[in-house]
Amino acid sequence: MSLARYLLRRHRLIFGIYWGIMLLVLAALVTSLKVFGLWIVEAERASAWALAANVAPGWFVFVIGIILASVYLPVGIAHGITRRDFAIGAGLFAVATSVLFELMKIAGQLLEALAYNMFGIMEEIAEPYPWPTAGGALTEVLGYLGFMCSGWLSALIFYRMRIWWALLVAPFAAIPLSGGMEFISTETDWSHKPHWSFITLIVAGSVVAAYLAVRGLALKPKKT
Amino acid sequence: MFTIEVDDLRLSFGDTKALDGMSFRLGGGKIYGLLGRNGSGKTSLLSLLAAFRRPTAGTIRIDGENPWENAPLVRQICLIRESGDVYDQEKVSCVVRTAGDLRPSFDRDYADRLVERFQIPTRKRVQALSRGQKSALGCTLGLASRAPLTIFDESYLGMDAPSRYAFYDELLADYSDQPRTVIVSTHLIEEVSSLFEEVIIIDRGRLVAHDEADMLRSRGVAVTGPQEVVDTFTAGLTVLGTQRLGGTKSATVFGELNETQLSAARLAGLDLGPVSLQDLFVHLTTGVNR
Repeated sequence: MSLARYLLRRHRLIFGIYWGIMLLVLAALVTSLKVFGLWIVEAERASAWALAANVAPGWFVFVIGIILASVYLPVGIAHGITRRDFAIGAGLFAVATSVLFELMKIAGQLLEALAYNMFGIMEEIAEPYPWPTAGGALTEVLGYLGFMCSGWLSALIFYRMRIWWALLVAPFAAIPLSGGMEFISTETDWSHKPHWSFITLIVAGSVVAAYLAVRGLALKPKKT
Repeated sequence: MFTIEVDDLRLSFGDTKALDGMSFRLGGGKIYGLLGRNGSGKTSLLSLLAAFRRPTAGTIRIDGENPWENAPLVRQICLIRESGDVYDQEKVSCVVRTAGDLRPSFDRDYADRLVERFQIPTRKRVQALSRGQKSALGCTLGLASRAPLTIFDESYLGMDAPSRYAFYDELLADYSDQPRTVIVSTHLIEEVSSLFEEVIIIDRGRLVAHDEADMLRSRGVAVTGPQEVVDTFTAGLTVLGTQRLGGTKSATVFGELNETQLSAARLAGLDLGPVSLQDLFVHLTTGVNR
């Protein structure tokens, strides 16, 4: 079985639980809008979902990045997978996860729009509804990749280095995450966001850093 | 069956030399014993063979190739460390499934049989297992890996005697059924020495001895007989250890006896036998011999 497929299979339950919870959050938000009025929908925010599914999925995939490097990488090496092959497999998994998360986010938005129409909320909101766009989706996928790279790098920094050195270097591992945050924020006016080449550059750089971090990694014995 | 060639292998951690210019060649297709005191470099050596880490200097050739980041080769090497390289929060059944998913040669049915034989509870998480059960799980993964180079690094520590003997039985049976190169590092020398066809003894990161087990045993002689006669005979010889029972004494002597000494022993009515690997190991790795 390919590593990416294995990782996807191992994570499908937790992904399902996460998006199940998010669906409940969406249902609760729409219900609250119907019952209490447009309390969360303000002048510049027509979508309540955009707030709920804002950076939360980003932080979730950040943790998945940490788990990939700290749990699955040592197990993979111990089972005869080279660091290079693991990095490639984990990279494919990261891309697939980012696309999946973006699709789930878009699905949530479409569900919200449907609910808005059903309950007459769409006519009440002042701003036009922020329908998803292909460009927006693509940069958000890159944003999720940035989050995952940061998780991966943070875990490897603490695995490889002594604690004080790791603390010194850790802020650099947060660079891809900060880049990603710019793109999956609640800001819906794309003219206010940095150019897409900015996030592309950051993600490309962090992918290279993620590979370099794992290249010569020594598998340490666990403390027993 | 993999051959292993190690040439001038060095591994350093800062100022500490874990391996200090080690060289040897293993022909493969045997069960090898790797013996060494604590901190002698056993785990470091085995980690390099399995490409868990990279040497500071020197070369390793397994089946003629460098194992570092060599995908086709490392897939066929399985190192089971005492510490265990599994995810502690997973259930045993999940750990076995993971091995099956990631290792092409893994024999899932055999693993299930071993889990049953070692009485490992499959529904428990690894972190909830006893030390012995964790070790048994490691042994299961190693045996069922069916890797052409399988290495057990103190992997049966903490297992009770019946489980250890079950492991030895399984190792021998599986090795006979599917011959491969097996390296076993251990401190339980007496218990497991009968398995070894060749033995490597290392100390302070250096090779001390490497020979067939029987040849190593013939490097010393166990002399048994009446106490006074044994004392007289062994005077001037290197005595590794003695045991006494009533008036009978057994002395373990290092070095081969010449014809004159052998005749003298026979004339004196002394029994001569092979030296135990453990006595030899202790002699080679302690005191002035270090």
